[in-house]
Amino acid sequence: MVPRVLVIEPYSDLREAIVLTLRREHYPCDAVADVADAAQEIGRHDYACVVVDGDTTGEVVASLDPATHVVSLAKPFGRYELLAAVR
Amino acid sequence: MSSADLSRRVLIVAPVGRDAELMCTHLEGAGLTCYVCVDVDEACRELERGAGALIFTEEALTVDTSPRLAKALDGQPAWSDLPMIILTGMPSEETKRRSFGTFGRRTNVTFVDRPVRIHSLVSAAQSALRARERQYEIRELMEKLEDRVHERDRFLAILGHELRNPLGAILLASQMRDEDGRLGGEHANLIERQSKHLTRLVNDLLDLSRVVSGKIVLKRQVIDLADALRQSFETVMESAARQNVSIEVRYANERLPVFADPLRAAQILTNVVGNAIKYTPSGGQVIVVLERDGDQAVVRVADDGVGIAPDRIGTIFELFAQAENAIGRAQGGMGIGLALVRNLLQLHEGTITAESDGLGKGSEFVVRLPIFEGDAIAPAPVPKVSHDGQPRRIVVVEDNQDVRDLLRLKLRRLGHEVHAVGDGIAGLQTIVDRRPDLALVDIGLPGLDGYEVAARVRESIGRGVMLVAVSGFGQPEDKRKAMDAGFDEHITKPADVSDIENLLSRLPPRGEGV
Repeated sequence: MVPRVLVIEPYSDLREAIVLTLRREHYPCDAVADVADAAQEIGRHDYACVVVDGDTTGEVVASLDPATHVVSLAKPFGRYELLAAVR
Repeated sequence: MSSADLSRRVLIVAPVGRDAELMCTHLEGAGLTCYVCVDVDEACRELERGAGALIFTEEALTVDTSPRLAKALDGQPAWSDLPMIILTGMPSEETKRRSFGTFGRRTNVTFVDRPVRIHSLVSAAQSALRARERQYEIRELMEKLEDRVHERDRFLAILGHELRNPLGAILLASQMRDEDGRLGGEHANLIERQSKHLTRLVNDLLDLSRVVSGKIVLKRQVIDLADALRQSFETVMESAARQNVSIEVRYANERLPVFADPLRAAQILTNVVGNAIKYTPSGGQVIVVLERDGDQAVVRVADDGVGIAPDRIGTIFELFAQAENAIGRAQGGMGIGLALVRNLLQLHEGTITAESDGLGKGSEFVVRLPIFEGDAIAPAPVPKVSHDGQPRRIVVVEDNQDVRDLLRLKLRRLGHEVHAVGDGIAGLQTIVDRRPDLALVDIGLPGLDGYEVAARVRESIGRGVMLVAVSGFGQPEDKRKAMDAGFDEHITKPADVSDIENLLSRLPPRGEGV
């Protein structure tokens, strides 16, 4: 089963670009702009992986199942870097 | 005593007899401020509080006390070279070497032989204080310089941070080509949107730099502020639609003439309305009201967006204000736009203010410009027109291969015959050989620069081609230099297809000549 990914990124066009990249690789994917919305999504779904903006990593990690794979890449990052980190 | 007064004192250490008292009396009689220290240790402590000069009699500087004074002098900051006057009774060379010679390497020492004439002492002290004043001036300059360096470092840090989001979006979207190497519409749109965002950012930065350095040239005329507002909507409506933000406009029921540069007036309003849209969430509303208030034309831009925290409202027009809060960062705001707006308005004798009831409660920005008391209303800026679709022969001379290939591709798609070369010599040859309708010539070219290319083209084939300089420098002097070299037009990079279409629209039909 393909792991479900949550993207937490406040900058809307970057969020959209990350989602488009992941969906093309057939990852089920949700995206939110901030930690508050992320908390709601995390309550609704089990995420195997969370892609998170570097500025909010700490807040997000605290609310996650320790088994969740957290990806926080230095911007700007490319498609292959993103996919390698999520896999 | 203020710190400025302390820093202009003459500290006197003369432990024998009434020397200190007498010196103090005479120096104060000449208008100087003196402070008598009982010994070198007190002088060292007073140095910390500030001093303009030191006067010692030789008895004060013993083998024991001299090292302590030397240590205090070693602690001077880089700008300081504290003047010191030592009154000596013609000591032997050995005494000078042992007791005083060391100070010459640490500070600015003048030896005055005893018995001292009052006039000589006063003159030496005044000279020492003048030297000290120059040092204080240097200190102030250094502090200003340090502030500027700090400001620059802060700017570079913010700029670097803010570029990462749009560049990240562009990089990811550009890597989403399909098997044929083509980009889908949504990816291309995203790249275009972010490229425009970066272009605006760079343009705002350059404009702000010009405004601050006084290099901006306003082309002021009497315009109806409503025209500038309509023009600004052409720019912002796309982002409003994309963000699902509705805009309601209420125009005044009379003309509101202002004496302004039409492009800058539109830029001001585009920034303010665009800012309101940017900080209003989906489903929100921006209301723009244009009205007269006494002798002022007023534009009120109210939104029901994120609002402004009370502690931020006073600094909202300062450079980088938005970059330093989380909401600003999320929206890609560096805080340049509003700083630029305020500066541009000041050049037009106008103002801008902001009000908000707090975070989450929306905000209102109010732009005010003085009403022009007269009749003349210039026509609104002529909208750009598309070219007539007639195929043209175009030469592109551009050394950046990506830019060259892109321009060639875009212009060919519009049906034109395009010849693109990468250096000045090939550019000159191609223009002369091909006799194009239009030549777009970069200025910074290898071989021959763009100015030289233009001059030689004119020498060779006269004015039978429209020559357009394409340059990263858009100052009036850059444009004038291009015209002097033989160019017909000057456009600033990045050149947009609409810029080129606008140029093509001005060409006469083929066969009529340029």
